[in-house]
Amino acid sequence: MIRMTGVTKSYQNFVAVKDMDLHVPAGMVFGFLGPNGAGKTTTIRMLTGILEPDKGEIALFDKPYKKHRNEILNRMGYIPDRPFLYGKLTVMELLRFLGSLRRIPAKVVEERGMKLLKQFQLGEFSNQLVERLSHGMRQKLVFSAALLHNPDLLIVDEPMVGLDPRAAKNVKKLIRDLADSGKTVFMSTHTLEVAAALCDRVGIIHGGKLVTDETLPNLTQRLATKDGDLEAVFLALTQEKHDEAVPE
Amino acid sequence: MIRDIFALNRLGFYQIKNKFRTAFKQRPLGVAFLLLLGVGFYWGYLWLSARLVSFIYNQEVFGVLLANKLLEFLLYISVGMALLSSLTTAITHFYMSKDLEFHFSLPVSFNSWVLHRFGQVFLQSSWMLMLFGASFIWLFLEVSETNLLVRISGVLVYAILCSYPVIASSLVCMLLVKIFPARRVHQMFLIVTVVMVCSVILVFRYLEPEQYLGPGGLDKFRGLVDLMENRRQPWNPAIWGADLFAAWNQKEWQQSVVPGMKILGLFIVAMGTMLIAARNVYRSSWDRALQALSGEADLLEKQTKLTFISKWLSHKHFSQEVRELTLFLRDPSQWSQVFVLAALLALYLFSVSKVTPSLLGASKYTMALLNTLFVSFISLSISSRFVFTSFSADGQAIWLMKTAPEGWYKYMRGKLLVFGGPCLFFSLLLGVFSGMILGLDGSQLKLLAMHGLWDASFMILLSLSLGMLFINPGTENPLKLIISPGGMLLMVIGVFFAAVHLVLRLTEQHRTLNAFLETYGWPNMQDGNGLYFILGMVLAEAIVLLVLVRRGMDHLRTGNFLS
Repeated sequence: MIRMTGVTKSYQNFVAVKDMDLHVPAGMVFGFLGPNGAGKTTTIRMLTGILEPDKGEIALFDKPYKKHRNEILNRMGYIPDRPFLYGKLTVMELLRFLGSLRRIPAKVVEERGMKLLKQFQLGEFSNQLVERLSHGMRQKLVFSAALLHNPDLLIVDEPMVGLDPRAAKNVKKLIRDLADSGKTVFMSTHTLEVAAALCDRVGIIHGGKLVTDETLPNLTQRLATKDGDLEAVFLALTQEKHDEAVPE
Repeated sequence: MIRDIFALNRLGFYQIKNKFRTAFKQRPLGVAFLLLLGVGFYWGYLWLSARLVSFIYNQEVFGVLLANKLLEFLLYISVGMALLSSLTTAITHFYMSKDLEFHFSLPVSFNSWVLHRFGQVFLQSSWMLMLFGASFIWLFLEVSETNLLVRISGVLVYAILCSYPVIASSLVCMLLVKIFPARRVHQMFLIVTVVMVCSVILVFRYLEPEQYLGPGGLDKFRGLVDLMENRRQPWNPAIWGADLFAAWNQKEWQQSVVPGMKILGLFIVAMGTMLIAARNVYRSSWDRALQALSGEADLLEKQTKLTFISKWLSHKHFSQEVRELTLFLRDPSQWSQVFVLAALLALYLFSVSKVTPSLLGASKYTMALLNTLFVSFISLSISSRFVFTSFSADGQAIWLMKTAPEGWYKYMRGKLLVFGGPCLFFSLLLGVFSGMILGLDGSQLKLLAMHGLWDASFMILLSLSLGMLFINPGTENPLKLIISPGGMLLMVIGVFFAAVHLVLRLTEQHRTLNAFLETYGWPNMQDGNGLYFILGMVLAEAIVLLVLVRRGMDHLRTGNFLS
């Protein structure tokens, strides 16, 4: 499903992602964890076509990105951590526009769009300008937009940011349901409880390098931590030298 | 209180310092060049102004009177300009600035905060006036050999005069936001400002200032001065300022006491009123500011507007064009610029109608060709405003395009059709209408239209490519990008090519420039070689544009600007 081979990305002198190899099979929720500035968002941006890697190759659905960009993007949904949208379009107009980019018939967009909006408690705001929505509501709208074309792969950067408890619960269920129906979810998060509850496998990135990529039980067993204690695993794998000097 | 104001201002100072430092680290040569350019330009302005003031002041009989009248003009214009620019700046800084929430939570006294914010509004809306107008005041006082203290006081008085409209704008916006939502007031101010600017430009042009330069212009100017003298408004602060400076200029210190007291008195009363209003009106409407920030405030009734266009957002071929058009028509800061264009068109054609080719010793057609240079400049400025900034105007929402299964072709086509198309049409309209006013025949008009098409297409494509190369999705105000390094580069390249086009045209027509070229030993292009040269030029330009567009598209594709 997702295959990254020797991928490197730098910003001027700063290497954000270093020689990364990653393979995520279909039909699972893959948790992508790491401390701030570890390279999570850069990796996700490369997976979603926003950034191009300096080196290495990315293939999704067993097809290299460079040659099959549009085909890949048509089967993928992306939810960024910060939902920047066109503020002067209404909620429904935005869905219409995004539907047209993916060649979805207008009628299907109206029906499916409204269904998704209702699912995320946005039904009554369909004619509101996006600029008037709160952060959480925009996040819900991005979820609706990302699911509009029924993607085979959903890439989510910090899914719970700004969501109210009801929406967060819905999103968790949605992510699990998607994976159970054979689709793939690639999810970056700082909320370790969410990762522990949802993910089939976990990859941890630190300093631009993937330091581990395995199932949660294997990981905790290997590092001899308590069962399911992802926090202990995370802290052990991403420990910095200066951490010891930081007082409790 | 003073400590609080200093602490608050330090925030802004650090931001500017860090911005400058980062820019200097990233592009040391570019920043140094821009700095040198700015200093050179300002020095040139000072040199020219000094000569002008000295020339006017030293005229026999009425030199001093003329200088005083010019100063009066300057003060009128300064106060008016400060009013125009402070309207939208005040509403933005008091109600729509992103740092408001942070500032509201700071442990500083309310009065300090209001004074700090007022200072920001003043600086933002009047920095150009302070840079250019204040230096004129300085020169005016210097020419009469007043001492340093008087000149510094002159600059301070000028700053106080410019602060009146800023205080008025702040007050008006506080009162209006008490009644209307902040966003609506902002939109209202924006439209009012644009319409007022257009009106001022048109009125100024229709006064035909060139009549004062020709024969008998001096008498006409005296008539104007007399008219102004008869219509002096004793309550107008600009007049107090003019009286004060005239008295200082003549070293009649006693004469300056009354206008000086009036200026200072009004300033104290105005500042006091603003602080009282802020305490009683603004403080109780802070929630309005926060609502305006979160965008949850208002305008529910507007939500269904433009649905007749936006229905086409789901069109499989033209959704990009419809999106651009919808966003443009829903944003008053964008569509209000159409007023400026209309005013510009009227102004330009009026100016062309006043041109008499015979006076300049040139044929109508040569005049029309010379006119293409000015049309090129206008075309360049319009395309820099609309096409160049259009990529950055998409802001951070550009990720939607980057993750869409569609090539950049349609995205660019949307920009070209919605912004480039009208720019092209407008430029052609200017060129051809000017030709018609000058009395050209049909074939000459066709040729002129072809020249216009060439110029405008070049400017639009240049703006498009540099807009992609210098995209800045993080900018809050894409208009400011016109004075960024990318905008400057666009201007330099655009002006260079506009000049080259004109040279070629005049050469082609065997006109005045050939003489110049021959004198300075340039290759003679009077024969058929000129045609090859022009074709070569078109090819060279096409290659330049192709390379730039490709680089721009690569830049969009790699997406490094989003890091």
